[in-house]
Amino acid sequence: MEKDNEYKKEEIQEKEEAPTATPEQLAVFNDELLPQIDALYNFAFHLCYNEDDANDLVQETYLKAFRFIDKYIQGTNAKAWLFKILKNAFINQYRKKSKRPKQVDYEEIATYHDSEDASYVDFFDLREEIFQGMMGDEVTNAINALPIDFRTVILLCDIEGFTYEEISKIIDIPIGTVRSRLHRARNMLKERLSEYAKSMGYKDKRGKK
Amino acid sequence: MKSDGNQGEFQRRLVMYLDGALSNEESREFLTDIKNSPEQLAKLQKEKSFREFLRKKVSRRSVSPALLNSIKSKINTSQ
Repeated sequence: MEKDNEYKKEEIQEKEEAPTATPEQLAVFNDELLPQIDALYNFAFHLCYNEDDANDLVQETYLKAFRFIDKYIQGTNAKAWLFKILKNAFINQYRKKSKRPKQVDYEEIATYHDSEDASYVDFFDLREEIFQGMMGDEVTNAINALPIDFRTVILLCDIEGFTYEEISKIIDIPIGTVRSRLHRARNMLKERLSEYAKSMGYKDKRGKK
Repeated sequence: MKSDGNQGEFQRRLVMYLDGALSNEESREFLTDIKNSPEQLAKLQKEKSFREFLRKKVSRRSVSPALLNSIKSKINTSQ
């Protein structure tokens, strides 16, 4: 069985004292963990909406990763391990500010999961000029407008390329919930982008069923 | 209805195929099963385009050198 890093939340709780790392651990930190910094920053930025908070979150993530470098198994999934730490740091930040992220109605999720096949949202033809002309910021804004739980799975799967299993471990939810959230999130995103396209004068040629 | 069931099964496999959640064998089976259906092939292409569109359009940022230096400095200080 493939070795896996510790993903349990309690393993990455506060531990204030910084250890003295061995030269090997320092090398692992520099060679395997630091190269993930751009991906982490992008994820943090989409979670927080602003650069200062994203910088703080990334810095906190790396300092925490360094304190727990002995928990990291060299050569395993450094990116998923760091994303897990960042996600927990993000949640803790919210708790400290007594401002919880917008929560998902899980009853609603269950309903959507049951009707997953029927609720597929088709999308406009992406070859159309209006979509090709869409700026990155417009698409980014559409993603940022999604509720946090839906935004997170879109970022992890469609932008960062994590597998269902990795996402399940990073955000502590069952794989079935990962799939249903992704399904709902993609539908919501398609609807938002379609609304935006219409506001820019795009005519829906698909016709209504 | 049977056709709804088939459509649902196609949709489920389509999403899992694009998410890389099917094994190599399952992926081959899926592509074989839909190769004679222009409608399903078109849906596959459309959904694939949507994923590529997202990856291409979502703005990627690089961290500032100041942040990288700050992290390295704090790590070195703790040694």
